[in-house]
Amino acid sequence: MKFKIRYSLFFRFFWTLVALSVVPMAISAFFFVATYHARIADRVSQAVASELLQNAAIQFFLIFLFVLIIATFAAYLISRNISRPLRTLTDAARRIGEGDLNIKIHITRKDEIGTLGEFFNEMVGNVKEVQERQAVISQLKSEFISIAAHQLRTPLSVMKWSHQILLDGDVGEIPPKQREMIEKADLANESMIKLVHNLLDAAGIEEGKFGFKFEEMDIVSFLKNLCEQKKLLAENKQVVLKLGSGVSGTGNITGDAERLSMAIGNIIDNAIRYTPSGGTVEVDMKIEPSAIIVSVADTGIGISAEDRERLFTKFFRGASVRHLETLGTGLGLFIAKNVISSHNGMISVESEKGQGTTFFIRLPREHPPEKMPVAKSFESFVRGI
Amino acid sequence: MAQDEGSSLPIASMLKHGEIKILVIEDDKFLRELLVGKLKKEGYATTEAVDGEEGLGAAKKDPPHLIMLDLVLPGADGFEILQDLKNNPNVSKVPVIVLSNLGSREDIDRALSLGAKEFLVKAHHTPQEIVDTIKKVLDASYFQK
Repeated sequence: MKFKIRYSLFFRFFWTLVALSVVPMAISAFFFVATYHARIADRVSQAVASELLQNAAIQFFLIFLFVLIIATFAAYLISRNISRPLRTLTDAARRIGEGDLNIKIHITRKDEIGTLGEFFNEMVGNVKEVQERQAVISQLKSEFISIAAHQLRTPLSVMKWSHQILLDGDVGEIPPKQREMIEKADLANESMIKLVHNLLDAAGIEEGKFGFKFEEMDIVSFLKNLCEQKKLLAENKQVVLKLGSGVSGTGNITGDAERLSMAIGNIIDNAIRYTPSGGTVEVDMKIEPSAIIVSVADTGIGISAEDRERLFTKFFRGASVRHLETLGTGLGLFIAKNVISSHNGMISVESEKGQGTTFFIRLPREHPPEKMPVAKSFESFVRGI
Repeated sequence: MAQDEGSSLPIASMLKHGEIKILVIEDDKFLRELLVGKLKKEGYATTEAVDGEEGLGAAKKDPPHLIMLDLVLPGADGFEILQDLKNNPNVSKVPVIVLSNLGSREDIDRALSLGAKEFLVKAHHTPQEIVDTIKKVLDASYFQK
């Protein structure tokens, strides 16, 4: 029971009843004493007078005891009569608060409490209806998204597999010129696949905003693995991908390794993609008391000041990038920013046109309890779309 | 690189003799043909099923060594089929690789918790990568015990 006993209904009734009974008692006692002094005290003997007084005192004391007992009893009955239905309502309200809407309270009384009960039942019915409708809408949305993803990807995977089987030479050798053409078609197809993936991501469906799994992780081994994965991409582009001297020892943070690998991976991908052959991309980190700062520095084409402002918005691609004719969806950094902010982190960029670009990703080492990253449930996420 | 890795597995000698049976449950005819073609070329014996019920029947009749399962299927969906497979003592031990174009974490978690060994998004893997995964799963399920 949350409330203190002296605030309970029982004690309120008890004190009220005691007060109500004691006041007439006190008045009667006052009159008795007054009468005694005025009329009786000097007419009877000392012995009789003291006996009378004693009798009166005992009488009043017994009456007082009787009042206490009656008051206790009456207060108990009245408060029980009121507080029982109230307790039922309190329990029901608490269960609703906990999310259980399958509640109907049975109050048959016709008084004010009965009316309250009726309204309560009506309200629960309405809330339940709204909630059911929401659930259906969420379900529809989530099905729609799944179906859209599936329908978009099916033809893309047909093309991908056909290209690959042709390129693998499974259905006969193909001349170099045709191979080149198929490779180009496949590259375009890949960018389409990536676009679908990124769109789902940007909507937060597949990897984005919901379902984060935060765990203790070591950022040093994480960065080493990530660079290992990107090595091939860098080699193909003839860009040197290296780890800075800060990437050593251990550095623990609380984070979702998969999402961070996508976020920081996107940044490394970009750095490699926009650095001309012979350039360098360096991934480094710095441990500060409250945060770990990961940096990705390239010797690429750089980003102009006006482009820097819109860098992290959806579908934005820099002016200098667009005429490089590289593949890109304009979603990579948008996703990266979302992932980093879900980690209570910050992403910033320094760049000099033609000199290169450095991205800084600040990841707090500890999260204050109220800002502790929590996984959003799929339901609550879909509702927000 | 992936192929070198594959040939070092003990599975390689069995493959030469076409001893490994794979059941492919996939409703898209062309995708099924592409995958089955690739698997045959790699030396697997394959059985095909166009929907879940047919796949379930085929698996019970002649338990394969591995099942490739699509999720979006006419009739019962892949999750139901996966559950049925895992509840059937004859085939519950057969490793299942889910190969679908669904890919939300919810779907992935659901398939893995129902007992799938791997979840591959079709559009994200080439036939060769799928074959490599099959080899790894077979090796882990049959040869590393």
